[in-house]
Amino acid sequence: MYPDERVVRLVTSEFLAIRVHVRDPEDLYARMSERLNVHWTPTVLILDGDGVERHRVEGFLPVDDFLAHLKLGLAKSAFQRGAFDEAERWFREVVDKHPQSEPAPEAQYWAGVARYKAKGDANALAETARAFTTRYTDSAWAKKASVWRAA
Amino acid sequence: MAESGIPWRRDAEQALDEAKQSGKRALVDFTAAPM
Repeated sequence: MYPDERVVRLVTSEFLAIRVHVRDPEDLYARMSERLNVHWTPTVLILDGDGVERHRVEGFLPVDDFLAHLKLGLAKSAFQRGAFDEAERWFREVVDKHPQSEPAPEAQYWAGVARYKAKGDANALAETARAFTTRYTDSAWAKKASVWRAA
Repeated sequence: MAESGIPWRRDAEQALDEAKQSGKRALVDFTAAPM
């Protein structure tokens, strides 16, 4: 995942990158895994500026899915601090740039929520529900969005 | 350390504290990959 130039660019531009190796000396892995509740490798955590975990990836992923998860984490981090326009941009980037990735349906759902939060416009939810009738139709997120069809 | 082009911090505890103090997002990679 990390030799990929797109991953390098995203990680370098958006995060302070910290690596903890199972063989790090002085029990660093044991202390950090207990502190952050990690029980497997590889595990990647995205922490916001307050040190709160906003997203977790456990297990290896192909590059496209990994990039999508990193962006989902950025979106969640922005959402939690109330930066809804920024959150929507990241959510939509997951859908637009990584449409076949595992997090894409979740990102499509939350993009609608972020727009609703930013604009106070219920049409954002109805449009999201409509989008799920043609894309990611069998996903759990499509079921969750279905309640908005009449919004 | 800049393997793979990413400037990984290995002093994880200090780096986490610095990230919190500066309000910067952190990515923490727990790995068993060959060093």
